[in-house]
Amino acid sequence: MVTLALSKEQEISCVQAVILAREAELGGRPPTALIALAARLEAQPALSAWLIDRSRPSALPSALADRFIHAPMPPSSNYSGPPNSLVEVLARAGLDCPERLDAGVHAWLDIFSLLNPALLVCQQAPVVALAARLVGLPVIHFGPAWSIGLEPQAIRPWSDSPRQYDGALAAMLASVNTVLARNRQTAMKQLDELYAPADRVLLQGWPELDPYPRATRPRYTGAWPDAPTALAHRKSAQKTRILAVLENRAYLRKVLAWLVEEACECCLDLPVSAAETARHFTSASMTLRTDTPGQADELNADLVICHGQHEAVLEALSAGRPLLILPQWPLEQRMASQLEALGLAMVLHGAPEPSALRAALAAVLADQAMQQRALRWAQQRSSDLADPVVSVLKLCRQ
Amino acid sequence: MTSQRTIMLTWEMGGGHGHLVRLGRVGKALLEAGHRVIFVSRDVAAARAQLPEALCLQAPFHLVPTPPYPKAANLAEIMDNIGLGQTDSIAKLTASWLTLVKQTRPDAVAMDFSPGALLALQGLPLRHVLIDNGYSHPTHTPTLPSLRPWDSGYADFHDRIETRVLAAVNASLLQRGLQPLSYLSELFGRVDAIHLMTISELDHTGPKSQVNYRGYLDHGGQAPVWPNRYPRAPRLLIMLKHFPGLVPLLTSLAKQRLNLVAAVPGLDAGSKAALAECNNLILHEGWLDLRVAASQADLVLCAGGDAVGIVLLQGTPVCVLPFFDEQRLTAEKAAATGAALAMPMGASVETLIPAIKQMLAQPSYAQEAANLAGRYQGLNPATELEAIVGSLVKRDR
Repeated sequence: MVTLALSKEQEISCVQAVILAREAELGGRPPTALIALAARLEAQPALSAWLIDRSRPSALPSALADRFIHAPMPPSSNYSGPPNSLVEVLARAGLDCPERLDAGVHAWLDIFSLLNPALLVCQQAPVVALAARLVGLPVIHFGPAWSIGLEPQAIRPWSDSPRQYDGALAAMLASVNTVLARNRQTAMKQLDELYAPADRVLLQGWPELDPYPRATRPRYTGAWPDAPTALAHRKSAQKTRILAVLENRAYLRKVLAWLVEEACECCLDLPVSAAETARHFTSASMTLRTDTPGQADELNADLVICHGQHEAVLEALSAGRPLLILPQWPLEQRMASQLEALGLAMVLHGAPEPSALRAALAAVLADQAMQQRALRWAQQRSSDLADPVVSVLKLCRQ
Repeated sequence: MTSQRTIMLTWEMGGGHGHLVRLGRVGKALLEAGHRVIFVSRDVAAARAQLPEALCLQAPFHLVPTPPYPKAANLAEIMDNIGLGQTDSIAKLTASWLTLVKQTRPDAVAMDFSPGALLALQGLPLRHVLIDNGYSHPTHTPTLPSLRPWDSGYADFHDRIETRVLAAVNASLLQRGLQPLSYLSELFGRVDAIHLMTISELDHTGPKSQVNYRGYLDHGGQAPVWPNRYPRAPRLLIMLKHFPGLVPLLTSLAKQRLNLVAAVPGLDAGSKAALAECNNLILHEGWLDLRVAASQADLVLCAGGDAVGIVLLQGTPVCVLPFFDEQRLTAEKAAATGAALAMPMGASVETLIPAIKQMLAQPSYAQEAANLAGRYQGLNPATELEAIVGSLVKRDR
């Protein structure tokens, strides 16, 4: 683990705890970047990092083995697929019910009293962000661009009529303000104040993939923690290599059956919940990874097949590989259309048939221009990109 | 007072809030005695509602899309449902529990239906105390008792699951340098004290030796106000959760010559309005003092749980309308005392009304209830609570 060399003024005088929290997803994939950030912070002198999520990730770095606590969760919470919008994230987290929100906030305050943190890093964790506001704990929001509602319009979904969520947003704002009033805090005018100030926001990815036009320019972290490592394309005579990052969807079996039939080498990335299904469909030319992303370099895939999930896209682009996207949910469709517009992906809508998948695969492999664009994307190194470790250390120093 | 101790209370499994209510009562007693309490539960908000003064934390859990055995036939299947049948999930759960212990440094842990905590905290230098009932605590026998004795056709299948869970549990114990188990129920005996919050007659899988039957703690509450629509008519207390047939049932009961009090938590406004015209029915709002209410009633209709025992110990017979397996087991045990009637799960209004009339007309139910209550006259909830607290704050292990 790399320890950052700190300048004198960056040094932290006494041990400080940093909580890295996620609460909105349950049963989804582990938050790879948040885990990596926790591990790197834990390796810093005078810092103690705590990862708090609803499910304990399978592949937890050894440094975090005794630094994980389960996030408070109502027993009825269950994973029902990825959220369609930030409104849904906020509702799932309990912002639409003042009693539930109040209970959630107090559960987090108990965790604060146990760990005495100096800083909180949130990823899709609006309840803990509100708890932090009550006690004046500094917060950094670090996550996919769609999940951070820096402006009012960023909280509303783009795929429907925005006004249809006015009622839900008003109810959530009222609920938040009820909790703030109970704790003698100033009311919010808009829900986006939950994510303020903007200079403490770190958006995963690049500005080109941000689904929202931003009034203020936030900081982006690219594919952090993976630095771009674009590899030259392999010779065309070699067997095609595919990295398939798939979710437990209705058509998973159909896609797996097609992959088995293809004359290719495939690394299959599945959530734990789908691993059992995959065992019946894998072949000798397939490897299976669950909850352990970040191996695309080793595989050196020719392309990445995914649904448009944020982390899969970051992984593909950091390796300079084009994507074949099978989107299903609105967020995935949004990401897919952005990538398609950038000439980095081909998109197949609906439940794909093997013939359509085969044709799309052939088209992506034959599209030299798309491959070059993907490669150039990975080779671009923006000095504007922020390193979350540095951001956390700076804030701790303050 | 003994010097301040830190006590961790845990609850992982089971429906409703009965477990939290009794752990909350133990927690209150510990706080009143000046001890520090950490309440680790599957429902943090509900735990806080019981014990706002405690530090309330989320209990570690293993997420499974669908539990492999939705109708668990024994504790091995329940353990498998929550990840205790696989070595990797046991390792994750254990690591999470050990982190909580490391951070909170308890001197003792009181576990209520918490098989994950029981396994994870084995071998730690703290007092291990179980606060369970007959459902969540098995007989200490080589084969776990059945929790669905009415399903008898798959004994081999259940044995195989038990063997697999035992192997996974033993792998975890061996990895931590602990003695493996000869059989799974042995795990539930590796503690410093076992308090079963029931009486032996109502122990779902009992009676058992090596346990302390503590009866039922006193949770206080308000006495009911009875309607006086029919002077000298029998009083029926109804304690049920809301279910689709509740309003028709209450309406039919209100047509009988009875004075009724119903305690239905979370009854919606529509149902209340539908019952407003029943002038021999009072809906009790808030927490009911069941001891007082039962002692004033001639018969109690409830779904099961601790209510059955509390009512019987007041010398009042019970008609049990179970909804879940655990309640059905309680109903059958209660019926065996002669002081209760076990209705079939999902019994219709047409079946229930004659059954209630028959119970009120037949004095043997009340007589058997009085006999049972007489046998437990000396069982004092305050003394039992003191004994539970004492087992937790004791210095030597």
